[in-house]
Amino acid sequence: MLAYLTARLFALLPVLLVVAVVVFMLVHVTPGDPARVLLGQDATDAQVAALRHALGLDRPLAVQFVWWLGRGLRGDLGTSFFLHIPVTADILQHVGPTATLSVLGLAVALLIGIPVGIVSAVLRNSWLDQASQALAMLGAAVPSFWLGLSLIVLFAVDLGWLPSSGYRSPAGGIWQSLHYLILPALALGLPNSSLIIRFTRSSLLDVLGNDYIRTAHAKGLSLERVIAHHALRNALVPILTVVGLTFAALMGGAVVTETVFSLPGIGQLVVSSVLRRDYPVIQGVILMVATVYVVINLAVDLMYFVVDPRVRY
Amino acid sequence: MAGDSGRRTDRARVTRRQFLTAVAAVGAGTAAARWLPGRAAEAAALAALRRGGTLRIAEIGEPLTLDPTATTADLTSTITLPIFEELFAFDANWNVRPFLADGYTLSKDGLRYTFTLRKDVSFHNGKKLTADDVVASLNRWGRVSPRGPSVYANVDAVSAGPGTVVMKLKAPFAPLLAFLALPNGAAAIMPKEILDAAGTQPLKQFVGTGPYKFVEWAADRHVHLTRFDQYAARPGAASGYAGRKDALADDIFYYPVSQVATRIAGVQSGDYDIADGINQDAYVQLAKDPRLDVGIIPGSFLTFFFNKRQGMMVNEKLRQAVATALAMQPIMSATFGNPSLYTIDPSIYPKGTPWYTTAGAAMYDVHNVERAKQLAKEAGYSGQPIRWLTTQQYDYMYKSTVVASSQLQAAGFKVDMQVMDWASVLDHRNKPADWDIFVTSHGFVPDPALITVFNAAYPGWWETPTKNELFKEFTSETNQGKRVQIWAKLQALMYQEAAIVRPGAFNLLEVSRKGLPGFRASYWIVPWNVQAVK
Amino acid sequence: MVQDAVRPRPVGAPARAGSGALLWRMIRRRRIVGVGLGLILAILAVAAAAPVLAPHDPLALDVPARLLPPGPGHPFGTDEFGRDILSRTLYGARLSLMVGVIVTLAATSAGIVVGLIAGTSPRADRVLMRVMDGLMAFPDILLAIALMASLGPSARNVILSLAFVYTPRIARVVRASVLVIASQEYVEAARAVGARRARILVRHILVNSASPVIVQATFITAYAMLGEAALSFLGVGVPPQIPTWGGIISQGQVYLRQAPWISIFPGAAIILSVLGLNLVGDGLRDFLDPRLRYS
Repeated sequence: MLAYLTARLFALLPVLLVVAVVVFMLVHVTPGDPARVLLGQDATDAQVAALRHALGLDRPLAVQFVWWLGRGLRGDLGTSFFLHIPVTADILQHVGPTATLSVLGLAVALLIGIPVGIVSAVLRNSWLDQASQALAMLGAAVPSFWLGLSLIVLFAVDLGWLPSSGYRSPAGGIWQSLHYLILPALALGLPNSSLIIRFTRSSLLDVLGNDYIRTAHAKGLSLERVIAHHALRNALVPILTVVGLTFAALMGGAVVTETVFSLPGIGQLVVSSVLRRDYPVIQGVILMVATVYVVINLAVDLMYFVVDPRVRY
Repeated sequence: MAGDSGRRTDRARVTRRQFLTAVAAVGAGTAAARWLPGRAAEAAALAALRRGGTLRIAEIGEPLTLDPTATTADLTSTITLPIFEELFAFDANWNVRPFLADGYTLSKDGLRYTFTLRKDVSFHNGKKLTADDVVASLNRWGRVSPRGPSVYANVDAVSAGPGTVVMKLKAPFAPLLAFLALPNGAAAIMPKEILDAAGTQPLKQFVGTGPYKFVEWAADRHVHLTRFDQYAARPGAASGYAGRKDALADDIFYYPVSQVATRIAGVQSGDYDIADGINQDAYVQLAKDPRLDVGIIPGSFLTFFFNKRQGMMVNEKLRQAVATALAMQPIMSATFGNPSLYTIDPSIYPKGTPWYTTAGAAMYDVHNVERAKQLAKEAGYSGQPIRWLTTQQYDYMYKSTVVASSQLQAAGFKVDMQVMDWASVLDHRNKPADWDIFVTSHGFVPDPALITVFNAAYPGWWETPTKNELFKEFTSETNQGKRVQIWAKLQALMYQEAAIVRPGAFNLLEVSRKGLPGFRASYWIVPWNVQAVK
Repeated sequence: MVQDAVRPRPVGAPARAGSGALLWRMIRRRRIVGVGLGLILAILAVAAAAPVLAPHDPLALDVPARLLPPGPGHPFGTDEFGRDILSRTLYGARLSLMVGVIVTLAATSAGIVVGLIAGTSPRADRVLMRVMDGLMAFPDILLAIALMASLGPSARNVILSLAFVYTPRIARVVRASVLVIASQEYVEAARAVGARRARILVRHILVNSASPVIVQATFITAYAMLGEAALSFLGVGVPPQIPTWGGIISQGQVYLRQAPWISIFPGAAIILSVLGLNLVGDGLRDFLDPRLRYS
């Protein structure tokens, strides 16, 4: 296992390097001079040249990249053009709402996806199955921002049960925090539950058709125990894959959901940084998110060990 | 400097001068007086309010800076209003009242102002206010503020005396006190050491004399102010931005909430006490809402600025062509929605104010497409795209641009509508090579000299000799009646030379939780003398 | 949604049948695919016929008629400028579909090239696949947003960004296909007969990866349409003057209480288009590769 882990970590490095290169190039593709943007239009050419030199912008791109990467590895992602605070600090301030939302969104997707998927598989081809498949198809087609707006109109405007926007940190009260996060979590999780429904259903069906299941059933085990003990464990492997993929989709979806519900998370940070042309922040966020995603995929891979002892790499 | 010669001159009667200024702005006061109860009742009500709690204010977004001198952005002015103070301040009727100054004298020739400073004022860092601080602050204002340099061009010298500051002008300048009282592009008084340390760099420390002191600016989250316990309240009833300021709430938080629906919802649900920048379209619904009070602030007007320094709009005839093509009714209606919240009237100042005039009305809201095409042809327009800067971050800017562009296209003009973020608009509009028209709005100002159109340094750069002369006449004339006459000529000139297009006037909306004790809606939110609920 | 599993046609299976007959068989087997196809065709037809079908000019302002609910003259109501929502939705279809189709074509072409190179040259493979993996390490929207930040808002840049984001999916599919095919016996057999290696590879690979590529491409069209809608909704996509479904929904956000119809109809249009594409994609996948079917 240790050997596997080490091998996987090594395989990560080139991917992360590519990520770093892409992120770095994003800014340097842009027309315009960051130094001039920083100083404002009143700056003289001499001042701009001086700042370019100070920032190292007059060095070859490769050298700049190495410097940037070096600083990044030490945790220094530069300073926000707009807010004049370190990018790392800026990102950390905004991580809380996004993390909370992503986890809740995943919970919604799983809480809806897995049970519905199981029911569909067990009651295969019944009207319940057909209906849930149809709903899953529909769910995958709904843009999460549109769903969010619709939920707001229904639950916040018309019924007044839930707040239409805003965020309360869990530190200030877990229930109040949830009160504000229910609608965003639904808007984020529902569209992503459809994939989980379908994958759960199909992989469970796959497993249920296997011989050892029929054997267990013939031996007299009830259907529930069969499912719970044997089928699910085996079906979990592909489901785990989907969970990993879903998390990536969630992080992307969080960007839009945060805008709809005014949550001060990474998504809103990215959008306002783009609107403000705050390149260090954009770079820093993309880098961080990509790294998180890669790490999560690794974690999902490792969980295969826990779930299915037959898996060996 | 001792200013001996000043002491021998007539002590101009402060009260009469103030009275004259009051008369000049009295009409504005009628609008303001709508939401002002009798002074006695107010004083009694104030005494009954309790201290404590936190005031939470939802603003339209994140400010670019917290330096009130360096920008005319209303957002900055609003957030820093409780922190900084100036020599003078406006009361609820837009009269100039002494504030950090105890009083002042003006020499007979109108060239020499002597401001006497109050002795009991301290800064948030404990330092006592001295004349040196005032001189440093005023000089910085004259250098750094968008409003200062045009005034300082007329300033000979500013010097500190014992407890006084003397300002010598080259020519009489009637609106000087109004400039020194305006919280926007403000001549805010700060400690000399901090200003010296900052130099030409942006301000990093925000230390003032106001009832609240700066605690922290958490980017994209909040600006946090807390009560300044050693605040030396000015005696006299509270009125507008002047008078007694009681810091009732312990703390104030300004939250950047860029979605207006979120701001409104926040006040409805009790998360915020006050929300700024409410869209006029929502008025009817909000007025019916039992959880809210809706504050209506009159006196703003919409403006399209032409680039008169570089590009095709240097051509006056072309500007007139554009102005002639536009129809104001659809522009105002689409932008502001509710007809009770906007007016279509050629006068920049509303009826009831002494500055009201219909001079130039013949060139307002002409909406004659044929004539516009004719003028464009005479101007030599051959279909070049008109570059128009706008943003979606201010709803009214985007909407008015869409309607106006559409009208111009129908009149044969080509419009290149450049939609960008507000920060980029601010950046580009400083560069004469980048644009032909940009849109913004202007708040009510008690003296027309404060209107940015007439400031040659403000983007748009209206610098014709006719205007410069007339404007100088306007500011150096001290007789109020004559000033009103000159103002009429200035307004007419503005239409004649098509310096800007002014589609009309509109009212701003604020919402606050129902019955928030002590709160009066105003252009820049006043959070003192307000009792916090939570 | 990454449909990564690639299992090309087993040896001996017919390389192709008449595509029309294939389609018909597929639709007959699973009628739901027919529904999807019908949806797509309907939307394509509507988009093509927009100039004829639209009752008003989508850009024409009619301020006195602003914020009207659906009714006579304006079946979908009007927005804050009095513009007809039906007309804007119809014209929005053109842009959304155009973005979807061009992004798919671009991503598919680029992906095929990259996948072919990666599959045939082990050295290039190592570099290229790392790059593809790296690109797939970003959530789609974030990468697209970052690209739009660099390039600036325009329809062309939206297409470029989204094509860039989705190319790796096709590349991986093609590469896997190449790797499997290249080891098949009939390639050896063909070579034994003397056919040039490149021609064999290209012909067999393209034919055999056609099905997974087509399946992927269908889904990419759906993602691209959703992606453009999200970018325009956030304000970093197509400039707001051009009507797109995402843009219309975005502008309708302020009027959610007073005029929810502004956001409802374009949203429904997106749902129907994406649903149609997903149904067809699913149907194609289930049909073309029986081993992926689960019911």
